[in-house]
Amino acid sequence: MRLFRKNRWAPLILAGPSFIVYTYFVIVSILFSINYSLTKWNAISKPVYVGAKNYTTMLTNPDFGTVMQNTAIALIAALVIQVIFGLVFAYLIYRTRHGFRTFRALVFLPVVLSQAAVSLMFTLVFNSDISPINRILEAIGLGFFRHNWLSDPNIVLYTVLTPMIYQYIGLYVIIFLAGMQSIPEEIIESGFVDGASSFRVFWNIVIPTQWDIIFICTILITTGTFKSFEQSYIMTWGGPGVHSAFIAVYMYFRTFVDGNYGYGSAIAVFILLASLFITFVLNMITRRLDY
Amino acid sequence: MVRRNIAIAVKYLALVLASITTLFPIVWVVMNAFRDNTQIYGNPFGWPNPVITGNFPKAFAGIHLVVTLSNSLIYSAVTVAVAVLLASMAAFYLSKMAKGNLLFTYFILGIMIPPQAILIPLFISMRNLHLLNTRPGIIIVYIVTNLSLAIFILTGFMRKGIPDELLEAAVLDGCGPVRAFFRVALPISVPGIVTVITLVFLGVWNEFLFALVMLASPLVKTLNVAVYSLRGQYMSDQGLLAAGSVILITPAIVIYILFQEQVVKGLTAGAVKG
Repeated sequence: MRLFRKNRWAPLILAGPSFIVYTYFVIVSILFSINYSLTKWNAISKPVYVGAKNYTTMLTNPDFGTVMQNTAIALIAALVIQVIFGLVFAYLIYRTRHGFRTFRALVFLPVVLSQAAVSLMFTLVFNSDISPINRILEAIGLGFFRHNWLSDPNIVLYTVLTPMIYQYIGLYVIIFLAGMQSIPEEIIESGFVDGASSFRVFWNIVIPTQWDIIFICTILITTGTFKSFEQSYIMTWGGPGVHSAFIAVYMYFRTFVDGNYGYGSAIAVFILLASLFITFVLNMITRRLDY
Repeated sequence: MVRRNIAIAVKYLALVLASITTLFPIVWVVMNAFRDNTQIYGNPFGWPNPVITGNFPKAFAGIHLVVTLSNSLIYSAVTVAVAVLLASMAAFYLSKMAKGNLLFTYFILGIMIPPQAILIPLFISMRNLHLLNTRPGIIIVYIVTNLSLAIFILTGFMRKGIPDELLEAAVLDGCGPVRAFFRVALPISVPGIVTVITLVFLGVWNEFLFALVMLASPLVKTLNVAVYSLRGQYMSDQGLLAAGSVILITPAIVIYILFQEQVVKGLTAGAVKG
């Protein structure tokens, strides 16, 4: 139903302001990013065009390699843990009558907190001097897992990953739960009537209907991981070195601390392309699985 | 029968464990806010004994509570107002008046663009416009970064939520599109708008990166960044840091308790309707 065909000003008045703001500050900004990425610039003197030099430097820089590896590990860990735990806990809550609302409310709580606050909380949890984590591990007999969580270069990546994954599992639980709730009751009932176990119902009835939602969640998780900044910055400043840095943190330090705006822009463009690419790939994968 | 009961028990056990794990860091930090360093170092998990109240006033002072709290409030409120207005107008057009999906897709791309991609150009633009370190500057930035999501949610809402008959009746009554928007579309869209308000408010309140980069002067800092800065000054006063964290998460928790339904609906509506 398309209304108000005769009024020519309406589209301009209604959609115009959003269009202008969005186009100038988002789309044009991206073009600027690409422009800056071709320069060597400290944001004070005049930019010097160096063509693709930033990109070649970036791709051959070992630090960048570490950062990409970190980001890849983070992405895989987030996808695997958040999707699997999300689905499982969503299903558990879905099949719970008593306390449904309570569990749902509790699991979602961390999502509304600021990432900075959660990162600060986990900085305290992983603190080397007080180290409640180490003490818990000892108490349950896993003492050999003790580490200097915030300073050991081999472990520090996983330390930083923890708040990232912890905070947002609840979001995906809620999303999957909403998805499950839109499955017609009869289908689930008939599954149980036919004698299927709870697990079978989960695996053969619930999951196949949720692929669209799973796909959307994988996109959210991917964009979320590429955006992630606070956890790494607040807990360890990306360190030691770049061992716990993700791509957004790496970009921040190169740009605003080193003063290398051209290189930083190249990283930004790379982040953009990588997100879009992975979204595209995930689209392909989950479309195949959907029936 | 027994097997089923065991399954149920295991399920509840899993859920309770998950809940405890979720709440543990939060509860622990709240407890620590009322203890001092000697207590915390002595026994990380102990109950506050005695209860220390001095951490909070120190934290308030350290983060210049009044200034930063007001800043966060102002940024969130103004961003919400402007973004909701702009987005609802665009959503009305997109859901009821536009031919095809081109413009909608154009706006929605913004959701998939990571903020870092536009961080540097926005920084430079704001600097050129002399809006760096100013309130209007950061508000514009926040509007821009939240607009796509708001449009997405509101368009979806309005498409199904505003009956065409109502609009047709308004047209018959002589309403032009803008009047129809304010008189018919907006009032009906209040639930969707409340959802967007909650999401955008929380989004701006919790935002860190842009606030860190664009707001260096203490007069315009946000609460979020200020609490982080505590760590620089008071790195070893764990009780104080815990108090700071508590101050930071309290408003979010309050909003969550009040508007839980809206928040959940808003976040799932986009994903589930897809």
